[in-house]
Amino acid sequence: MILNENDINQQWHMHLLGDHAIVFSLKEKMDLKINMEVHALNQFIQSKNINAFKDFIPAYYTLTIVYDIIELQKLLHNKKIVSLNEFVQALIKEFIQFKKENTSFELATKNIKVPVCYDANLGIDLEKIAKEKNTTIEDIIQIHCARKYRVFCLGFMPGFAYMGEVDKKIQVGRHLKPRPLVHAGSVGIAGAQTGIYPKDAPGGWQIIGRTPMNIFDPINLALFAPGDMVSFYAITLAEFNSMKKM
Amino acid sequence: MKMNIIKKGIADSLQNVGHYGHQHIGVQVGGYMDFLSAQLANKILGNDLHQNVYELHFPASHFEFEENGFIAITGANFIPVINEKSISMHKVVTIKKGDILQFMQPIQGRIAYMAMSTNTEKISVIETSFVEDINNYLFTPAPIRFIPGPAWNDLEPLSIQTLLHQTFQTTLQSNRMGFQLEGPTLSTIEKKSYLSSGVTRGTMQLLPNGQIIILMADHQTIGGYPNLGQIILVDLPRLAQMVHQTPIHFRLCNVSTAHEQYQFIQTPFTN
Repeated sequence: MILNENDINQQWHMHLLGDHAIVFSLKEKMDLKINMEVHALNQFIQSKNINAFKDFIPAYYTLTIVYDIIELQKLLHNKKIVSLNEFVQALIKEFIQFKKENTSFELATKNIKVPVCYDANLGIDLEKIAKEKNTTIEDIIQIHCARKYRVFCLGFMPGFAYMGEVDKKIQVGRHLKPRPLVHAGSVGIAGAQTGIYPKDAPGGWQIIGRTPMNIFDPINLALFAPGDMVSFYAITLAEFNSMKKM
Repeated sequence: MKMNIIKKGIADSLQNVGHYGHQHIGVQVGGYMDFLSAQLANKILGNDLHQNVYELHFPASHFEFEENGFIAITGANFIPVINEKSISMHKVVTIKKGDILQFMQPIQGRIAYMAMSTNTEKISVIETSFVEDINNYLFTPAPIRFIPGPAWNDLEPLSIQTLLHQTFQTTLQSNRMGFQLEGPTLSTIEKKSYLSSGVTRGTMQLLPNGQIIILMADHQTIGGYPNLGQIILVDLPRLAQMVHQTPIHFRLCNVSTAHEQYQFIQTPFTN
């Protein structure tokens, strides 16, 4: 279902995900503008404090909202709304109206510099990628450090930030079979994405280095937030070890 | 209720309805795998429906109680015994300080729940037919219902027929994060890659090897595998209780039926 057209010529689609989630989506693309719209819609709907909405999962081009079935039925009943479709269509209309009246939506963003040790003992896939892309490990490091990456969304595990876009020259696919253990702090690439494993976990991304930085802890929660701009710089193994001890 | 775990089980945990509100930073919801058995255990003791319960997988923990009180055990039958004498499931069991609870053998189901209370006043008798209905529902073989997901139409027509008519089964690769199934290989029409988006409990993902994984309580928040469909909420407890190599048949469902079923099954708990 096409809901409406907005000023940057993007169309919101809506579909239900099973019996307890709603998905709003734009064009399936890793794109700054599209992602900004997703976060804007997320903030807008969250600001309405709708009790029946229990969780919000903004991703690249989708916003998934998890709802409570009973609470939602009550809400529709109280507002005399016939269907869930009608309810979400009204939400999108309101959002588009809101955007017209409040033209500038911006995420509060941080610039974060992340030290990475690209030693072959930590960047365990570097050698293989160099072979596959017919380049050198030094070039991969230089290319990975040359760009600023945008945090598109958080997910997969607590604090894991999906960042992009990685230079085509070093883009590689995921491992066909995920590794049973990827160490905390591991910096990986997968297609146009780069990211850091906040804790030890199984994972399929190609690992090119490791950061001594703490990415997630239960008190300060996530280091990264959507909209942040992240750059990587290379450190030696000795620097890695001394930063790790701090 | 105060108690000691004298021998730790393989995968036991305290669970409740789960922690919503943090999926935007990637924090999983968690919560019980089988909400029906968990709620039933609390209902038997007259507890708040969503009070913490022990979720027990076999081999389960052994407990020593440090005060008098009451427990109720529901879900999978692991033959619970207190001081080596067997006790009834789905009933209020009186506990004395020093009692030792053990679980002997898995007879039926995958996950047991234990609710606890020290308050006698709240306990009211619940109808045995209610308990029977829930157990019949959980353990009588019946198709698992799902609502098609965004990648449903990307499946080859033959794979759609396969999914709807052939038998799949649970495997040892099943835990609180997800259940990997084994069955005929499914494939999409074209091998395209999907940009990651939100997933939820019950999401059926198609793995690169053509097999299905169903996301369970500790599922990740965002996923990039093709999303074939969503198991409806009321069928997740039935799936959660399936032991290794249980045959599974899938059946199509729609949102309004799923909502009706959910309300139908939840109403007796809240009365």
